[in-house]
Amino acid sequence: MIELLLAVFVLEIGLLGVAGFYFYSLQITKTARNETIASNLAAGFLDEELAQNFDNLVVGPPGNPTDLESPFNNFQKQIDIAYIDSATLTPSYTQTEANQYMKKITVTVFWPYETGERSFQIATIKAKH
Amino acid sequence: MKNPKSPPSPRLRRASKKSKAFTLVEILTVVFLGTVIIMAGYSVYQMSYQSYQKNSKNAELTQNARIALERMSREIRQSLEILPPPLPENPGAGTPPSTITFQDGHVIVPTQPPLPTNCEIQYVTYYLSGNELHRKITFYTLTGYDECVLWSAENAQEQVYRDQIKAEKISSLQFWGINTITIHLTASDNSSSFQFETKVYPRNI
Repeated sequence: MIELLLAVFVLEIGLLGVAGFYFYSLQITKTARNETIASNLAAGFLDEELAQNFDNLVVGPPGNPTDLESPFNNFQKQIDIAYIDSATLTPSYTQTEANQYMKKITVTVFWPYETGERSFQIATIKAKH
Repeated sequence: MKNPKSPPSPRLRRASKKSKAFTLVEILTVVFLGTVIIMAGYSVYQMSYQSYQKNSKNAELTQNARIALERMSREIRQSLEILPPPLPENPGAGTPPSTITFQDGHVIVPTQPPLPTNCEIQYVTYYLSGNELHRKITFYTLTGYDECVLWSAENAQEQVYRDQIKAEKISSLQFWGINTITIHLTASDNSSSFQFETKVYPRNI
């Protein structure tokens, strides 16, 4: 009887493990979908910045991430614009002789994931001329 | 001394007979545990099947939306002109249309029949028909000339070159914006619905 109970117990552990795997696969699909949404949103925000005049791109440290409007309430965006030296490719918030003609635009989109959050980041460079 | 070959006593015979069979309690326990195991196995199988179905549907929906959005973004980004009517600046400024027509910025020349020999000017229309996203290529010609002209040319006649389905399960599509065009689409099937959005800055306009 004890042998039988032990066998059932071990089998149940195995079955629970298999069931857990399927829940995990559902979670992966959800993550993949959120990454697709985030990458499209990030590409859109980047294009929105690129559409602006070079001088209108405000350089400075990024503030806190801002919430997006419905139906993307779960997502947040953060935009970081810095001068970039064409020779060393070093970004800086301070304008110098060497970096004044190019700006690096970095867009990050965040979304909640389990207890923390995940993010998708995309960057490009805009030249003055 | 006992003879080892002598037959066992009736008492011993009864005892050995008894030990060869299962009791009713043992059989019931085994049947009960067996049922539990089969039910657990079946529920795991059912769960895995449902999970597979749900995953497949979600992945297909996401894939459809991704293909549609990337294809439209790429072509609008390279387009040379967005044809009227003008898009509203935002959804609050008017009903965003579910169709967009623009001059194709990726035309390969020289072109093959049935297109005219010189057909650098072609137009692409994305529109929804039911739940299917269509991509239609049109061109404009003038009678007696073997070349394509602008849509705005006098007496230009529109002709459809190709109309193909590019994505399925797209339940809604909207375009708005002036300098930067927003594409908003909803991919849905019987059980799920997801919304996707991106913005495109047409470089060549």
